[in-house]
Amino acid sequence: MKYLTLLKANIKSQKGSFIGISLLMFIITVSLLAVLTIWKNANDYEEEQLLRTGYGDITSWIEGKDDIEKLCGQVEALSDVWKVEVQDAIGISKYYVNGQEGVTGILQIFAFGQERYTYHIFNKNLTGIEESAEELSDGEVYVSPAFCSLYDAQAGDEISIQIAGEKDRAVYTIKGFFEDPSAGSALMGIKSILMNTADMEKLSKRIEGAESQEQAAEICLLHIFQSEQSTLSMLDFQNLLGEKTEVNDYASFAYSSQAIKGFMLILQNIFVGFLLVFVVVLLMITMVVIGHSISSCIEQDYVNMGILKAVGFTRADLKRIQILQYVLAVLVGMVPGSFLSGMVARLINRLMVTTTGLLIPEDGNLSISMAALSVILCLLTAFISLKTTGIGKITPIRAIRGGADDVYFSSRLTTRIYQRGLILHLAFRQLLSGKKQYVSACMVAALLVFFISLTVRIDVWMGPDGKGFMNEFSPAKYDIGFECEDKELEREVDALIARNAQIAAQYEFKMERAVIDNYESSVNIASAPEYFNVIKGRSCKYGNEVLVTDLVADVIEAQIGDTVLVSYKGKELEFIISGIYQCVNDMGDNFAISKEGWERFESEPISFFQYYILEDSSQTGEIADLLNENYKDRIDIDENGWSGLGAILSVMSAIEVFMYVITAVFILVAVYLTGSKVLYKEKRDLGIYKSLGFTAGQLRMSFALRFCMMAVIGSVLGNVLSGLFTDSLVTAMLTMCGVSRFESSLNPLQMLFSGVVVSGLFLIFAYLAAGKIKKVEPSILIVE
Amino acid sequence: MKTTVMKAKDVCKSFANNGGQNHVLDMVNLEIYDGDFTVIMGSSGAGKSTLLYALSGMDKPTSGSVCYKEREISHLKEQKMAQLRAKEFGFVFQQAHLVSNLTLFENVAVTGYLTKTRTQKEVRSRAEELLSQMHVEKAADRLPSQVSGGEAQRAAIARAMMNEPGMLFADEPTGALNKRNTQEVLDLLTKINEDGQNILMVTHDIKAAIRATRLLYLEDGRVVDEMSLPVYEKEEARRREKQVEAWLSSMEW
Repeated sequence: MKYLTLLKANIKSQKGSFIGISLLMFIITVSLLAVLTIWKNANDYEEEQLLRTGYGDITSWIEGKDDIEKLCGQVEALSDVWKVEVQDAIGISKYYVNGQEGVTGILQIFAFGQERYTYHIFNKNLTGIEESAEELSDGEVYVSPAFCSLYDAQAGDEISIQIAGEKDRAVYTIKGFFEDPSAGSALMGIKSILMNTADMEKLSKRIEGAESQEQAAEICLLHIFQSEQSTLSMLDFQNLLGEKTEVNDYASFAYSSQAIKGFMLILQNIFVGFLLVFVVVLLMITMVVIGHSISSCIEQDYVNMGILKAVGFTRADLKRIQILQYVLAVLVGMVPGSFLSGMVARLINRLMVTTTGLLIPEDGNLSISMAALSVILCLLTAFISLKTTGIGKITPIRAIRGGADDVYFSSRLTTRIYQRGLILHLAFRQLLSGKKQYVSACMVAALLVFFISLTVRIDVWMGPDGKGFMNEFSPAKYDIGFECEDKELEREVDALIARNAQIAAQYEFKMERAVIDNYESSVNIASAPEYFNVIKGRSCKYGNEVLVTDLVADVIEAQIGDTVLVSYKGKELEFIISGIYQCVNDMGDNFAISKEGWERFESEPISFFQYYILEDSSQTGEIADLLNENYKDRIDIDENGWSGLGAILSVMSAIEVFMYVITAVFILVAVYLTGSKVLYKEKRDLGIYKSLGFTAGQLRMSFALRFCMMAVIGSVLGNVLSGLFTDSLVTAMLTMCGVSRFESSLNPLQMLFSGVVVSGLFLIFAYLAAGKIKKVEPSILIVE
Repeated sequence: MKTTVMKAKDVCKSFANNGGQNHVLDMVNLEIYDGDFTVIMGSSGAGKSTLLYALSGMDKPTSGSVCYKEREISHLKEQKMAQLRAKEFGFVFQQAHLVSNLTLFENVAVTGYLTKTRTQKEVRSRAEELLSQMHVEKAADRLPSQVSGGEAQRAAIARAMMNEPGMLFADEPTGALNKRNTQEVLDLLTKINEDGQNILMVTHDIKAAIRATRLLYLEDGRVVDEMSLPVYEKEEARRREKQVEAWLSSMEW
């Protein structure tokens, strides 16, 4: 009862701190639990849906059906294989959405309505799954929601497919959208559509009769399931298939379900990592604010605590009351935050459905949520306990004498007060005299500037149109490229580009699938290997050299200088690793060889993309338009762009807005909490200044300037921290998508940006918080 | 005929108290004349300090009006009131109330900087001169926490004098001082009054009251009597004290 009475009294007298800390904890809890819910549910849901829609532990995309039975036999004969399932599909490389040419790689068509391969169909608003999906009539298709973000496509729009040699395209109407766990993300180059069995058969017949299978072909998906008894790792299982069967020779590409999950969830995983760092920064800020609040409250309640000690309360009693008070504030924020996090997760999932292609459940995971909140609660309790040790120093006699008054001593840091800029000088003096009180403001500013600066660095790295980001995804540097088999036409196009733009460099490029040390991966081939993004060692300038990514180097356990075996179409050759390079394609699952090296496999002339680096990159769009105008349908044009880029940029912008709003709220609360304590302490001085003729406006400005000055110092510190830690922190976050080196730089103006934003907010909020000065009257100095 | 510097008309001041109203000042009417050293006396709780704060604009009266040099000041806006405090009024509190992180010199100079009526050089020179007059020039660079109560109070008087105020208000300026410091502070106030400074002081100390040229007696929030005295002479101190004591006795003080 004695605790309850004092606890109630403390909360009443410190209600500002109580509400502020609860608010900060509320924001942290909502952000943290929403992020964890999205991360956990996305991973679980994706795994579940891949399994439900029939994807095996490894799925190989096989062109043609002729040797499928033979391949299945080979695979099923392996003791490590449980079963193999074959899913028929059609692969399309040229398609149009409302007349606009498809920008993704391959469009794969599956039959809808087959018992084994069931799909979830979204409702009209993309907010839920239809319980009983409508059958597709002839000429109707379901597409993934990514079509909305890529082509702004709606139900009722048209998708047309070009079959080689046919004048008329096969035209289909979008009936609705389906959840595609294998390729539904807007970030994936491959896209799927569903049509009814009759339409599939009709389309297959047209393809059979086509001039060539270049633009449309029948394909099979070989879903291979590992047996439960198998002890092989996924990589060893993949290697076993490569060694003991001909699957790799037939497959256009093959991915494990883990790899598909990685591709599908790449965006969530990057942003979850990013937001988790933000939550950690917010938690640190909250600890700074709690620390300041505890010190100030002990100072404020010094006399009361001394009296309580005099009447028999022990140090432990008083400490317990303080801990209870702050832990209660933390809990009051956590509880509603936990409930709201589910709603926030649902909102984010719904907003992102056109990007992720999945309607991720929003149900919170109790065990993960409880674990995360328990860790935070324990951490904060330990911190509060540590900060309340000062209570032990209070003695009744000292308290009765009026506590520990501030005594200012001459400081070497003291500066003179001048008439010009009097308010600024007074603010600076006050700051120097009460440094300790403002350290928390400085730390809050440093942490926030660190995070904003980190975001700005990522922004700069991505570039306004995502060019920087694209360069990481591109195997090599280029602005525009094209491919055509007709050499005469190739020369013509080349001449057209040369006439219309200054070309800085030109080279040939091609992407294939090959096996390196028994590991199947993508291989990038370039006639000018110096344009590969080498981060260690040197490029593969000789015909017997390869470059590997960090990921591939780890998988095959090889380093620079090691000899590896590369096999392609049954031919196996030795290469030396000359360097490590960075290419985010297939999340870093690739390696690179020079054209000279590749010719050791294929001596026959093969078709390459012609890649151009322009003197003025801004001409890229213009050249692309020119090529489209003159050679549409005759050449494949490759602008250094990516279908998923827009989605990443828009999600990044949304996250930035969210982050800036939260930053502003945190500054507001931190300034109000620290500011009110400082104002309370300075009430007497404020009364004196008013009695001398200072106006409330002048005193408010002086108060706000102090916070602003500390924020400026904090901003410098934050920028230094950001310069020191951003690259390693972001590299760690981006490793999961294949970026093994992130290098950022900021110009002075960009550095200023975060500092100006944070310091400006400190100034404004401190000025607002100092509104209480208006109520301070010189009459507080009256002693009756 | 003396010139009126300050005039209070029907000034009332009430405070809320346990759901009721506590009337501290009840229709106070008075005039303060140019050149006077006016002292307000009265028993404890009579409303002396409240009246001083109402007259000096430190606090607003509940009703009535206060005029300074024929200008109504009791309902001035914050900005105008601040200007008046900075340029026309000087205030000495019972405690020195110096800004704790400014040196004595800075405490004095800052009021000069605020009004901008002098250059920085002139402000510094006047601050030095005032501190010297108050005999605290040696402590000028010390912080309030590093000087004695008397030195701090003398610095507070210097601060109040910085802008040559039309009226110097003093609320029990010797209340927190020892005998020696009290004497010094009173001598200073007497001297500046002789130099022409108008002073309105609240005290309950007879030794301070005898420095006045005019005494007002406050009872239950009203001015009930007043007494005029000639300019203070040290040799006359004992006689003045008896005279004031007799007057106070008649007030049942």
